[in-house]
Amino acid sequence: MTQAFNLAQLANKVNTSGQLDASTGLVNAVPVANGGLALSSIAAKSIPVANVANTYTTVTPGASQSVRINAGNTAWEAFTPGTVTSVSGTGGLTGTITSSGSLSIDTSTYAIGQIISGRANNTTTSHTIGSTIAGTSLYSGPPRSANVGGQWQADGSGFVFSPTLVNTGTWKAITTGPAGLTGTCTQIGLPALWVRIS
Amino acid sequence: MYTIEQIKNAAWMNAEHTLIECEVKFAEADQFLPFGAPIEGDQYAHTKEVFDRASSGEFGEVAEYVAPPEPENNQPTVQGAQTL
Repeated sequence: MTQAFNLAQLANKVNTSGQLDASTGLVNAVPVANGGLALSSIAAKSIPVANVANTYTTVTPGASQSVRINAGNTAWEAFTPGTVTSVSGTGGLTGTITSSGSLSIDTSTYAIGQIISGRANNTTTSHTIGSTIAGTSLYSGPPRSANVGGQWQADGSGFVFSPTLVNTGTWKAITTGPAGLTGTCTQIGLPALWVRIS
Repeated sequence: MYTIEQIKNAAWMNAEHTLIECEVKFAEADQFLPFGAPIEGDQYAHTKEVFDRASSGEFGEVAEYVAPPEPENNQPTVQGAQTL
């Protein structure tokens, strides 16, 4: 009697083609073994994932988050992607990555041990090999071979441009001036090679 | 890492007070060294430390910036090179 009644109830969910209306004819979640997720509800914007075999759960990322396997390789997790904002390299090379993704190399950062061509920033400063000078009193220029924009005199005697103050650290002269010149370098504009020592 | 023992003759190198020139005695050096310390932009912690400690007055007052006079002619000359 009861079984007949129940079958009659189920039959009410079957259409004339013998198809069962899944939205009203089923009860409880469909298990994984039967092709379901075994979930009775799912939150908005959530993602069903299987951290163990045959069991679904959900991960619900927040704004701007993504989904990945965690560091222990044990489960899916929501995470906020990191952003690379800077780079560094040998010789003190550093750079900044902008929000648009472009890379800006920082040429104002000098590493200890870095060698530049440069000259003192006033007409009274002289130096010999081994002289030290503050970066605040040292102009840097392009390599002799670069001759950027014609910034070196044709005879090699010095800069003819408005170079940039180094600004930082202590620098030691390792040459006195252009090739062939010896002794004390007193002439404004005569570049030498300098190495940062502190 | 450099250890700062003493700073002397600190002077502002601009009116904005973002750059100091001074002489620093590092523990790792046997004498005072001329040193430039910008408020930012250098990769070394000791540079920032020099700026912070000097600007705080820990080693005495920082001399006020004095704008240099306009140079009459600071261009290099062939004559100059030949005199060396």
